[in-house]
Amino acid sequence: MNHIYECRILIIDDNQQLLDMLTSILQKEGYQFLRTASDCKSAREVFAAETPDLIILDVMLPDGDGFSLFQEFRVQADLPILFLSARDQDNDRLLGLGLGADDYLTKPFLPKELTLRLAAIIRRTYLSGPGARSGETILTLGDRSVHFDRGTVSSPQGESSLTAKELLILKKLYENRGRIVTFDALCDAVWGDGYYTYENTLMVHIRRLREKIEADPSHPRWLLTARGIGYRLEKGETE
Amino acid sequence: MKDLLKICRRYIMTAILTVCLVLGMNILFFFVYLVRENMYKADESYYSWRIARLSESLVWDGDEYALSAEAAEQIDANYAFAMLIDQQGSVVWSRNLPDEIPLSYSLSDIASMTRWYLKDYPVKVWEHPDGLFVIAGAKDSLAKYDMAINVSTLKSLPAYFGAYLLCNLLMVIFLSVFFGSRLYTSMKTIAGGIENLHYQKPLNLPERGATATLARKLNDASILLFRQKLALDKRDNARTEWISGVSHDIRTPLSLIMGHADSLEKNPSLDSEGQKEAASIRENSVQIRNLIADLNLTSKLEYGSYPLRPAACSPAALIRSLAAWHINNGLPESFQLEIDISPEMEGVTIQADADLLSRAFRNLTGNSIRHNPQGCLIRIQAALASGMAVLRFSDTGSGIPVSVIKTLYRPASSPAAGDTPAPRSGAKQIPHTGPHVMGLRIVKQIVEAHGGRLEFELQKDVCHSIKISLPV
Repeated sequence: MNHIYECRILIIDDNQQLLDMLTSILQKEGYQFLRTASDCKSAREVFAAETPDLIILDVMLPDGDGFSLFQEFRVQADLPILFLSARDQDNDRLLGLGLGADDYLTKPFLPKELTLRLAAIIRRTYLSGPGARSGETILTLGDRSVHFDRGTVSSPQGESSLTAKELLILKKLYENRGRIVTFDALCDAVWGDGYYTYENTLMVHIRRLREKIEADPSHPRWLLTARGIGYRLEKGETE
Repeated sequence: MKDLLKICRRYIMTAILTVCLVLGMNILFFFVYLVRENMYKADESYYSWRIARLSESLVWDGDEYALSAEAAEQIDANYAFAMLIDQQGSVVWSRNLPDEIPLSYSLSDIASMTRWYLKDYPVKVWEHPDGLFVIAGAKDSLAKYDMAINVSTLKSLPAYFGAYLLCNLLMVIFLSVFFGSRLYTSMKTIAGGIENLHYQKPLNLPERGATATLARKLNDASILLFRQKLALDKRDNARTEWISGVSHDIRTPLSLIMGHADSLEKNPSLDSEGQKEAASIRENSVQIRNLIADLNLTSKLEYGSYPLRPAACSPAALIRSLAAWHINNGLPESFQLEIDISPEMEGVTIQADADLLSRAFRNLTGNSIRHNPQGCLIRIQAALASGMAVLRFSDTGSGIPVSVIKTLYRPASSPAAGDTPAPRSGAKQIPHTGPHVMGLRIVKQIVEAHGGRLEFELQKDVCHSIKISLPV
């Protein structure tokens, strides 16, 4: 798969109008390979005929429940599944995510919410990105490139390597690029602990990271501080 | 049980006090009597006409015995008769002497009358130069008893009296404690029952002894309360399930409305007016979605059916996450978000459902943003005070009117202040038209579900600052 829109998506929901609307939304978004099913039986048939790349699955179906169907499909193929359900109970959401679903979206939803989540799942699963199932990730910051797999930063002056902690910090920031990541979330990602007692350590790591990825570490262009809250990795001009 | 002990203690003390008071009063009356009696005897007129004086008033004038006029008057007024018996036992002088009284006496007669009566007349005798002066009171006016007391007994009388008092006192204390403990034992079961009733525990008290009726009534009350609780729980569950069911059924149609409105909004063949209307449908649908979610949450929190998932979390981290959420989700430039976390808050953790608490915080900051379209400064402070994590949400915007706060604290069934007066019984209840406070109500419910306190800090009928205190 070279592009997210090449993803084959199977949409399973008992409401025909909703199926039509979802098909229309995804088609307009650019997805070309869409199949629908309104019950477990027809879903199994479609699945058997052509294994999809991703499934959007309702929980309540006329001839069974989505959770069971999910397990059935997962046994046959390791493919991403997004639950789209009217059940908003925490238990349902936790059950769905606990079973290994990639996301759980509650109805009613805005089309944009669905398409963004869908795109994120496809990218994460099939296209390159940190944590992707295959491929190498390169982060370009001006004239410098970060190679996550090698853990290095290449610049016109040469190549420097990142420590394990620096790499973890940068990955976390990259996953949330353009958004503030709180001190707490960073410490949790790096040390699996809260911010308390790591304040200075985190600051030191950020300073060293800036020395490697910024042209002028005193006036950072990419790794910005949100005072009192956290850090943000600035988006590139093309993003 | 502490209360019961207190009651019994008070009962014992009251009994002891009552007896002591009665004893004290008796002693007081006795002393008052003694003092009065002595004062009476000190009276000159009383003393002067006692038998000695009367005897002295009778003198031999060489011819006959003569009594002073005053003495005669005293005898006539206060005594039945008077006489003088000479050394031979013959009456030599008398006044008002009845016929039945003999005129001569032997020594034994004299001894008998001195100790007892003379023909039922109580008599007193006094030594006279010429014999024995006898004076008699009216019949049945005086009781005479022969009393002799051992001198040693008389001397030890005060000690006896003290011992007697002490024994009485000890007996009173013993009896009071004995009856008090019996009362405690018999009431212990009942008191335990009342305590259990308070904690809504089912009762099955033994119905015997003096408290059998009370125990039976308590058992009945317990069954009644249990049934009422069941009925209330059933009603609350039905309400929560109904809201949950309706909100579930509304979700799919609302998805279609939102989806289609979104498509229409982006449809280039629609004119700008049509696109604007589609956008309005979408925006309002989102609002309905949020309201449904709020309604669901508030009803679950109200009836205790929301499963709290408490875990150790840092309030400082929650606040940073809240600030990041607002900025990441496009906080308008007209708003400034300032967070001030005191250093001692960094290590503090609370037991809380972090998602739910974040929801409460987002409601507060969201209110500041929604109600101040012109923008304002939003400040979130966190500090440690008296063992509580104190979070203060304030803004420089229009503030929360006091009417909103009043609505929040008013019971659901009572009408809003300034609304139509309460309907008479039988009249249909008119729903109040006070401000909608669901967002704030959810905040209050969430904070209270965490054992915390929500306070509105007022300045001239407007609240610009909300204080949340959570136990650390």
